[in-house]
Amino acid sequence: MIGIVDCNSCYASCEQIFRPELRNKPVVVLSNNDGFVIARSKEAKALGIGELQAFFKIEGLLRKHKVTIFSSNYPLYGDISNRVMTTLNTFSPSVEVYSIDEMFLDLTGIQEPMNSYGQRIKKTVWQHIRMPVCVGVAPSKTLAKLANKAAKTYDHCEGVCVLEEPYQWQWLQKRMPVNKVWGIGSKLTKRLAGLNIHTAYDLSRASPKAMRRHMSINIERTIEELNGHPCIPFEEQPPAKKQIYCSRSFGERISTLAPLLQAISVYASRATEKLRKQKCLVISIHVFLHTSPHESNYYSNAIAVKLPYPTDDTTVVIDAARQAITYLYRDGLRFQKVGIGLIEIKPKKQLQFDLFHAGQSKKRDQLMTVLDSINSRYGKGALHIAASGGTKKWAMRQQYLSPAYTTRWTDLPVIHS
Amino acid sequence: MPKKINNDLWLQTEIIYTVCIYSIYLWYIKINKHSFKKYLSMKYFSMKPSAMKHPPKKYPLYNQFISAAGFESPADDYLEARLSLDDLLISHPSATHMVWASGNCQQPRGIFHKDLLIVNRALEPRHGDMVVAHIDGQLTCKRLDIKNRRLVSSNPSYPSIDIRDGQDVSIEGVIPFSVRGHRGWP
Repeated sequence: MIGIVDCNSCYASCEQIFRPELRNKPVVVLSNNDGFVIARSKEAKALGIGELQAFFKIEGLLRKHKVTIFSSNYPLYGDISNRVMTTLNTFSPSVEVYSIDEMFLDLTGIQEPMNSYGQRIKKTVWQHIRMPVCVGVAPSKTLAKLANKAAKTYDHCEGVCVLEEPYQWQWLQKRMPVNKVWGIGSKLTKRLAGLNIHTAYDLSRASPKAMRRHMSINIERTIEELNGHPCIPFEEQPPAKKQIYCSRSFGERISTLAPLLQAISVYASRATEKLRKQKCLVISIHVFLHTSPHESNYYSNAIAVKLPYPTDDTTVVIDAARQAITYLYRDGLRFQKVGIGLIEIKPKKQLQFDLFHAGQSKKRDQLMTVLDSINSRYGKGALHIAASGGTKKWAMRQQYLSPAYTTRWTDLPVIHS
Repeated sequence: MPKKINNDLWLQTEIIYTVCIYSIYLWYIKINKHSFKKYLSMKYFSMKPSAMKHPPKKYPLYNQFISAAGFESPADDYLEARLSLDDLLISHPSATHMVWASGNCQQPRGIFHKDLLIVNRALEPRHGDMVVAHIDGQLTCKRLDIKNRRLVSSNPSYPSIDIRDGQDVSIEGVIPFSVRGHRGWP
């Protein structure tokens, strides 16, 4: 059996952990730059606040209902997610972290009845971390996701739904529209509607082989999974990323070149740091920038740059990215966003050596190792390339940021006795 | 006629031989560039995936500071890991967080202003425990008196709180340890 544990409105619940007075109250969390609503507590959803609504549009509504507003606090969410993962590891030896708020558990060989085991997981995660979760258990990942949806939807499940027998999952599938199935997006939903497939049950009755010929192997897997035959394997170790992107909107519009260059240097450093973490080298990068699409003279441009040799050296990537931005920059425009993507990545081990170029020198390798070890010891950005330093006028807007309660000494909660 | 065949064969062998030497040469350059040792360690001693998730504690296997020419330390066979405060004070790492204490209401019980309190949510609250309680929207540090259903302030100048039915009270965690900085905190 496979279980999935899903944190209920994860970011909003994280904010409520150290503010117990906010439990059972409406809470929303905004995206980077306080642009959109990305998480809502149950009570906020009940007020009719939609997903991904622009903050400036609903600010009045939020104030009227006294909704507590937070900017995204990723250091906190990351730490809480790790805590949930560690706690779940006491219930199953193999846990796959599917996303920051969803984890798959391999429950093979558990003797305890699944329902009580699920309740125990839910209770423990709440007691240890104060994170409310829902648990879905089924023979395959797709069914487990479906069970999790049911655990959230039907109150009498009490947060845990177990699908062990075909009649149980068929009952549920008949009530679930096909777009709620894991891996079925809006495009596929439309194509399936053309084939008269509307519910998850319809899909599970379709012939896997025929559907594979019609669409892709993925849909065949989904159908098999919906019938209780696990096809999607467990991945404890996340595969290395094939591309690394780093981009952010500015807190305010930028109309000169210098801050753009500074911003791209920061993102290039961050992306290369991630690259080194997964022990890869980059061969070409993608640099882009655009103005606000809501303004009249909308300008958006991008360029791909091939680096002189495969590298994980921050200075080389920054240099290329700065040249690209200088090339793409136009005077008299107010830019909203720049970004960089490392698009062609090779593992360091499998590198083909160039007959005519020595590649990255050993000295550079050592320099980058030193850079990373200093930053891991003294905190992010303790040592950085000068191009990305200085005051950042364009930095993120985070007006409603909560303290990093668990990761900074100065931010620990203060308790009056 | 037989001589010609022989000649061809010799030419072939020579070409193969040259290619072999050249490729060995290239390989040698490649290895030297990234130091032979590193190449080996990358290939054969990479960690298992399960071990990477939770990096193992570093237990010393032998004393690394003695030079190869010196004498082996007689303590080598008896080395133990250095003590860690985390191991002593934090029994449930993922259920534990820390808070700063403020105020002097628990002073008679040994919790002073600006002490660091270790809060463990995994422990079952017992009678007499020091706990962090959430009462009517406020987080506070009190002693739990289960027998009389009270949250006790140890300092007599502050009131104790009786828990009435229907009151919004929850125990947010037990404080098994508190830490005081006698020179203040860095």
